[in-house]
Formats: sequence, C-alpha cells, structure tokens
Amino acid sequence: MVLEQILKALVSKEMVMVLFFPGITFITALSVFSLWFERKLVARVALRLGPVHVGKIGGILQVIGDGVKLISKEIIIPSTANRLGFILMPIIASIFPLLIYPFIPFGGGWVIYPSEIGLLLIFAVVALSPIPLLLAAWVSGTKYPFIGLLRLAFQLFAYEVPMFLALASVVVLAGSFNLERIVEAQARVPFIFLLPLSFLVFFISVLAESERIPFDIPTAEQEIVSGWMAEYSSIFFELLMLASYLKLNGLALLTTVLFLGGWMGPPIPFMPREIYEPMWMILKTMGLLFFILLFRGVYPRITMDRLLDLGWRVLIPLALINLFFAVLLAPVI
Amino acid sequence: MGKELALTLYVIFAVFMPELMLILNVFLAPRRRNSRFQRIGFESGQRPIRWFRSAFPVEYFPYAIIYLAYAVVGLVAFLSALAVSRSPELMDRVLVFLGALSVGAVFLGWSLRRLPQSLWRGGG
Repeated sequence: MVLEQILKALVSKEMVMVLFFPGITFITALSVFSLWFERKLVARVALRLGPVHVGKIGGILQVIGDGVKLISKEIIIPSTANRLGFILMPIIASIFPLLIYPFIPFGGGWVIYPSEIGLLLIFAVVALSPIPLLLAAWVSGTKYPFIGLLRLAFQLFAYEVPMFLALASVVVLAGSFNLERIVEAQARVPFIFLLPLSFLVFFISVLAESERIPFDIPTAEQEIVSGWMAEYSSIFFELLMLASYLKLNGLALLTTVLFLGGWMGPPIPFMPREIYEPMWMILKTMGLLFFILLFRGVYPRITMDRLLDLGWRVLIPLALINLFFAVLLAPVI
Repeated sequence: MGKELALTLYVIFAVFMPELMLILNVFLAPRRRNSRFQRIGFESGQRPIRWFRSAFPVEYFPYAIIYLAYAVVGLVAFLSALAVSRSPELMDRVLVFLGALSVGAVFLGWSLRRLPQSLWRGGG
C-alpha cells in the first residue's frame, strides 16, 4: 500500500530528525533563542533589563514578535538596485547556513546525513556562504553597501585560510573527515587540550566569519549604518539576520564537535544515552555561545588595518606552527 | 527511509523556508507601489550625491595578492598533512616542509609588520 508506506515514512526516525530534532524546528528555535539570549545578556552587561514585556519568562516571545512585525512590513526596493538580485540574494543567503546542520552529529546516531566527508562538506558550505552576501551588497547599488562589501570581502577571505589550516590539524589527529569519528577520537581527551593553538585560531576565525564584535566592521552600525545590508528592510532584513544567526550557531556547534568533545560527557543516571548525549552537546554549545555573545557587550570594534594584520600576520603563522605540532603529535595518540 | 532521502527532504525544507516567509510577507504586508522618496537609496536622509566618477582608493589591495599566495600554500599544507595520516613513513619530509612553511610565514609576518601603517599613511 502506498498510503501505508507514506505513513511509515512520516513517523520514521529520519522524518522526526528532519522535521524536529536536529532538523528545521530545532534549528529555528535555536536561532530565535540565541537572539533573545544575546539581547538579554548584552542588556545585563550594560545594567539594563533587555526585553521584559512580551512572554512570561524574560520577554522570550519578543524575538518572535519582532519577526512577525518584520514579515508584515512593506518591501522597499531602491531605484538603484537590480530588482531580481535584490529579491533573490537574501533568500539564497539564508539557505546556505541551513546546509551546515544536516552533517553535524548531535549524539551517537543523531545526525541527518552521516557522511565520510562531513567536515569537507561543511567547509564547502561555509566557504560558499559569503558569496550571496557580497552579491546582496553589490546589487543594492548604493554607497554604504559598497563600503560594507569591500570590508566584508577583505575580512571573510582573510579569515578563511587560518580556519582551513586549523581544521587540517584536527583531521590529522582524528585521521578522518567523518565528524562522528572525530568526536569518538576525543573520548579520552578533547582536542582543545591537545591543540590549544588550533582552537584559538579556529575560534577567532569563527568570530570573524560570523561578523561578531570585535570583528563586525562590515556591518558597523555606528559608522556605516549596518554596511552591506543598509538597503534591506522588512522580510529581506529578517532573512539576512536569520542567516547570520544560523551561521553563528552552526559554527558554534561545529567548534563543539571539533574541539570540545562533541556529545562526550559523564553519563547521567536514569537517563537513556540517546537523551543525555544531545544534552551535553547543546550545553557545551550554549557555553561557547555565552562567550561569543558576551564579547558584544565587553569589546570595542577593531579597525580594518588591525583586523587584516591579525588575520594575515598572526593567525596564519600560528595555524602553520600548529599544523607542524599536530603532525608531530599524530603518531603518539 | 534512507539517509539520502532524509537529506533530500531536509534540503527541500531548507530551500522552501525562506520562500514561505516571503509568501507570508506578500499576504501580510501592505500592498502599494513604493513612492519616489522610498526608492531613493539610503544616505542618512540626505539627497544622494553622485559617486561613480569620484576616485575610491582601495587601500588594502596588496592583501588580495597575499591571499592568492596563501590560499595555494594553505591547500598544499593541508594535503601534505593529510598524506601523513594516510602513510606515516612520509612524516619526516612533511615535517621539514611544514617547518619551513612555518618559519617562512613567521618571517613574512615579521617583515610585513609595517604594511598596514604604510598603507594608512600612503607610502614609505
């Protein structure tokens, strides 16, 4: 029976994973939560309250309210813009970060598509994801987006090379591109203790790739009024914001898998393995996100020359030295 | 249901989620043509000035050339590190290669330490 097969497919484990955890619902909820968490955290750092009114607990529904508001706003396309590109680029930009997630394992078996080359696939998606952003700035055809575009291009390309080299050291130690193998290789010691330099380089590159303060010069609000996305309003603004938070969360999850031991953690009594493993994974990611979001409250923005200086002159030599030690360390482990 | 089908379904959902939001916007947002003032590009509320004839210095162009060099070097370093994990007898040679690359990168970083400042001030 065709109907029976469809019903069976609908209640299968894969379908649950695609639709709920770690699929679309969880990913959207995580990005909404991290946006709320950021607003609350930065407010507390500045001795403010943050959102309080919408939602019972700490204004948690404020972000959803803002989302609905942005959806119901009028679309404004400037006369200098290429209309088709202006509509298409935010959509493509928000699709790319979503493609990071199906390869990330949240626990033994909790992965939508376990691939032997998962890390390479994720890196391909991360390397492609700036291109729709650059095009989105270009098709606006005005000055602020153009300045933002130049800054974005320099920043993202400067930090892709050290990120790639930091990934290489992890692959050398784990001996595999499969993310599940990489997590299992950290059963005794997480790679953050074996490759602290690599973690430092990767973490700074993640901050720069996801344009977080202190590396948010392409969208600097105070000087170039949100830079490359200055012309985007209403639903397009929401899609671009969603894309940036999806990328941030995806990269934080990837950092957890690569350096913090993924789902490895002490077992919790009376809790099945299938539940506590994703729980450890999410807790570690939340800890990492806490620091990433905290930086917005405590650090100033650095200038363009210092940013390029750090990327080209400091991080790449550090990443190469780290790769040297990783190759030296590989036979010992 | 196979893994490939799950990935295909996920990609379909991922591709259609933004379009769904756009369709919602079509139903919820006010429908009217943008006025002439709305269609002016954003320039902090000022009337836009012409810009396509003014010179725009791209100060950081040398970094684009450094990028080309380092992208190739990074790829080669990555592949050689992978070669070690497949065949460990190559280790000594790869270590010499990576050591030379590290020393070279540190030397380059050291010798270029005046680069951003010289760009900033225009020469010297």
